[in-house]
Amino acid sequence: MKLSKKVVLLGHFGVGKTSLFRRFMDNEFSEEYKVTLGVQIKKKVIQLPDGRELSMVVWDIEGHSDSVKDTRKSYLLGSHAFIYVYDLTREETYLHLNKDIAHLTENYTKVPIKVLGNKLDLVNEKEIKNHLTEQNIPYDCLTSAKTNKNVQDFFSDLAKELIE
Amino acid sequence: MATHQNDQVSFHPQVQIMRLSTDDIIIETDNNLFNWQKSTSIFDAHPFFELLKVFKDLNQDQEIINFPCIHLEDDTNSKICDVTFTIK
Repeated sequence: MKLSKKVVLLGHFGVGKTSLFRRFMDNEFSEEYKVTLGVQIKKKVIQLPDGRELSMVVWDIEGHSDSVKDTRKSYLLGSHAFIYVYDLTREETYLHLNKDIAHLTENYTKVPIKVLGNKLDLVNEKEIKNHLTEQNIPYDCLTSAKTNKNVQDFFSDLAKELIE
Repeated sequence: MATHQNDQVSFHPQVQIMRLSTDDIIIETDNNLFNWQKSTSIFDAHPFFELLKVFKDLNQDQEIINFPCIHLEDDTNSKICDVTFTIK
């Protein structure tokens, strides 16, 4: 039986959660922006280098406008990992990041949290890294759903962590 | 609202009820919304239902859990549905 893990994409509306979801699941990208209502769920089987397989079930949840506390608790039930996404071009999407991470850590003690800065194609990578460091804004990975930069590698690395 | 519209709302089935076995096989379904077959695993119906795999480990106190606005689909159609699990 394949190991199955539930991974939830969280973050403000408009940060590119659905674009990351579509890029990872179907290798597609669209410039058209449609607000996600509720939750889209898809599954992808990831083959690990050692031959093992992981069935990653990704939940693309509608974005919140203020805090991750606004997210329905039932959507987070049974999660194996959270991916908190922010928009590198919009400071308001990472303004409450540390509070949101603290809230998740406190309420979902066993669930690992990965932080992604998305829309890397719209900023200068070196400058944004300096800015995030100065502002004490954490990130595990900077991605571009548009160009596919770091997207597949990020999910592959997450799969490896989840299976260990 | 015109009478024929009233009829559509009243008599068009908007709810699908399914009963599952403890090993997650569809025992009964009215297939009002989605064509998911009896005697098959609910996990083959849609990845959303893989959530049920972890329910047993969660020791949920709740007997009813609601999931609003879930995008579901079968081979022919897709809909946004409110899903309620009643655990007995």
